Amino acid sequence: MIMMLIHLVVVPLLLGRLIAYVSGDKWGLVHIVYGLLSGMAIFFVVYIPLMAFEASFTVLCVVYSVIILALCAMSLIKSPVPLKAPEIRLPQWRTEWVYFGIFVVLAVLQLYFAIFYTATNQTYDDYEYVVSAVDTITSDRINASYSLDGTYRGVIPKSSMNSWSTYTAYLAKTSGLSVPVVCHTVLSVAFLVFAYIVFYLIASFLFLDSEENRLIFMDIVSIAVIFGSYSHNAISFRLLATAWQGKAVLAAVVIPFAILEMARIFSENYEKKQLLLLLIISLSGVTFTMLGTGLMLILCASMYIVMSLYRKKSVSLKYVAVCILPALVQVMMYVLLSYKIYGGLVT
Amino acid sequence: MFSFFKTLTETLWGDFGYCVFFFMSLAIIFAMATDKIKRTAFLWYTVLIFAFIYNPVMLWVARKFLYEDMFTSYYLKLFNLVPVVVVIGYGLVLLINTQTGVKKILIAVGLMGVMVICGHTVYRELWFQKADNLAKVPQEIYQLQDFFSKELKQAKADDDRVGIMVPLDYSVYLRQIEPGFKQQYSRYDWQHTSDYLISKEPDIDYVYETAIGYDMDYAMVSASASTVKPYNRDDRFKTIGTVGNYAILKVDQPKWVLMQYQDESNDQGNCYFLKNNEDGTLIVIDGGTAKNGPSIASDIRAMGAHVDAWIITHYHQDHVGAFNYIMTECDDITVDVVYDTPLDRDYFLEKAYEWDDVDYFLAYEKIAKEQKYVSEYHHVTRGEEITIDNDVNIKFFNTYDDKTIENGWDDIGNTCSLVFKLQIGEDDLLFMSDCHTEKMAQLMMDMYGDELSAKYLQVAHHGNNSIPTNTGFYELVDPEVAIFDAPEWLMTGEDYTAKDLSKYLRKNDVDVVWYDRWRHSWPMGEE
Repeated sequence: MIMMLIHLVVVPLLLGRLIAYVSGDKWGLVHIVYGLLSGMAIFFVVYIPLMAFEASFTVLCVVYSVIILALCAMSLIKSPVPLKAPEIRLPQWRTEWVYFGIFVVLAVLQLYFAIFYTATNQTYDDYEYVVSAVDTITSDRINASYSLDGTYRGVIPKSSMNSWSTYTAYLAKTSGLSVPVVCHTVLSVAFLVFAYIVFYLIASFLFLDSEENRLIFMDIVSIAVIFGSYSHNAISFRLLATAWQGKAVLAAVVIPFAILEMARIFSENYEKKQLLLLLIISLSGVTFTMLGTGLMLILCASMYIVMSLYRKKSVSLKYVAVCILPALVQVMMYVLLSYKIYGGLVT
Repeated sequence: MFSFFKTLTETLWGDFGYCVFFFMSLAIIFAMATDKIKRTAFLWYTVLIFAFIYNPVMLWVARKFLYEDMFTSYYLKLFNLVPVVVVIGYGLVLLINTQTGVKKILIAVGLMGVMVICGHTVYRELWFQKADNLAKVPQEIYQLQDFFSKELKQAKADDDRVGIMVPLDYSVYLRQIEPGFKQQYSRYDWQHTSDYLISKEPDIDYVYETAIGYDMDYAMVSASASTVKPYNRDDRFKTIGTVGNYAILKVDQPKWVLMQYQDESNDQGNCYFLKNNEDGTLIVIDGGTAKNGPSIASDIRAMGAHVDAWIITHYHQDHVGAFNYIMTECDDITVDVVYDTPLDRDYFLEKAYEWDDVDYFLAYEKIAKEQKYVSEYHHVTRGEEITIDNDVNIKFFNTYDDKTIENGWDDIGNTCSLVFKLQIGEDDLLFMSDCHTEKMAQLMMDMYGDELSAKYLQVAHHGNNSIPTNTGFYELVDPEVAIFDAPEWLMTGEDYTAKDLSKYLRKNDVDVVWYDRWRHSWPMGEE
């Protein structure tokens, strides 16, 4: 459990701090999310070549751990930004306490259900996510086992181009917890928390000068998440019932965060330091599913269009290039792998 | 297109309660939000995403790339780009913010109350329940693990796995906890098999076919009398214990089992395995398309990574694609003998049509020349007979030779196919591959007459443009089962003749089998 706290709390904090230093920003909540996403992004960058060359899972774990350790050390040693807690102001007015109280109750309720309850109608997706991680650990092969019987199946373009299930395998292996516990309980709680951090960041963006409105926003979002289970495609279902699945993390954490940050960055004039932030978002966005890669491309295109209209001039194409580069490289690799294996493009 | 978008909208929003909240919030943002960047990020961005989704061009592009079977489900995922809860939150806060003091609190709490009343929560769903443990896995899985502890240990030592069929509620979790198990679970027939394990009227034959096709030694069935009794009355199943409310049955595996694989491409293809459960001898016929390659390779590995005999009937991509894939991509799979048709390169290249997949033939030729993982390539001659593993007798009725050129020159890529009868004990299979023309059928009927008769008939050319019904061929073969290597679109499509042939065969009391389940299996040579 200590290792899990290190992965999901300490590493995002330290990486976030380093990112704040590199981008020259004041360290805050936003950088903790960047820290989390950068961990997933770095894992993806390490994963792709090692997967393509069918290296062992142990090698992947070692390489990634060394990189993360080095970056965390750099964050502690080199960064001149003083380590301090993000600024969170406690509610001051009586009315704010009402809204804050409602939010706390709703948050506790969601955490309680995330820890002790489960969807009992899990389907093939859950099976694929969890079992491929289990097989990755037991076979020491990166995402190359057939999930029905665990036999070696080799690299398959559609399932091997995304690192998410292997990332959960990494979390399980290094924490000593079983993959089902990691996915069904630990990540369910962790991504619920991260999703609400993102919602709070959005609240801060929308209602910068009113803590009261931010709290009302958080209450309404909580109610919408809990009671907005209008279909299996709603964020409610994804976040409360299947938060460990890649598409849930994408929909509940990465996409809202990407909208927020792209709006902020695209609205300003080009600055080189922002490229790193955009790269982290776009890289983390393509780690989940191939469909997620398509979503990230549409998101980038949409944000480019609306923000260019907002600015009445084109958003810097360097920004756009960084946003779409990971998706394009991934699609290119998918096509190459598909041609190598099947002699043609297989979707 | 309109009906697709209508279905899409209904599937997404359910009873439209939150749809109203969402669009009301968008309208409020439009009317009340004054900050341009916030409007841009959450109003205009959302509008643009909707314009993307409800767009014929987007729909057309998506259809090019996404699986037809799951298309709506995939297309719905585009809505993940819409920040629904953020838009609702933003819009309603703007509305609430028009008031101050107690009024503001009352409106805020009131609106939240309306959201609760209009909404649905997963917490109240029957499928959302308190978990037995932090792994959120049913306790029965752990009990199953204990029950099979000895077998699992042995299987691990043998680098094997324990095959067990379990009801759907458990199959999703089985390998999450114990990777030493294997199961038949698949997107295509899991529902049937799983249902029959708990059904009051189980289709025992269906379950048995699954068990032998997927090498499942055990089945976990409901211990209720109505479910377990039919199994207990059947010699092929034997109860060996109980786990919770379930009986554990041992399945009696036949010595030989014939399996027909559906092609992973969702297209036509030919792939058959014939396996000896006692000594592990494996015979593969064709293998299907290259897309079949990875799963076929995986199955071959599960059976020992060695093929005793591989029959390549001809060189079209839906027959030789998987073989070419395995021989180029898998360096751990070996083959004793490949039996193939000695198609003349120059003649084929001269006669080949655009659909003849010349590249696949050339690739096969190169692989055969390198002979890396195959000990012997054997060119079959007409009338040749071989015996494999003492039990399996095969007689070849067609191959590429002068008679093929004389009678099948107009479609040599298909008519050069190996045609053979495979016999084990009393059971026999006539394998026609793609040798589908009337003239070729007549040639074989003239040459071999009653020898063509067989219990199982693999229908030529996937049943499409197959041997005509007026030739007397089907009456001569007189099969009990006719096997079409064809997906639904080919079996039922207006442009294809497979539906007419299957209708004709059914009328003559022949069981027609096609890709209606992921894998069909038959015991061979059983008394």
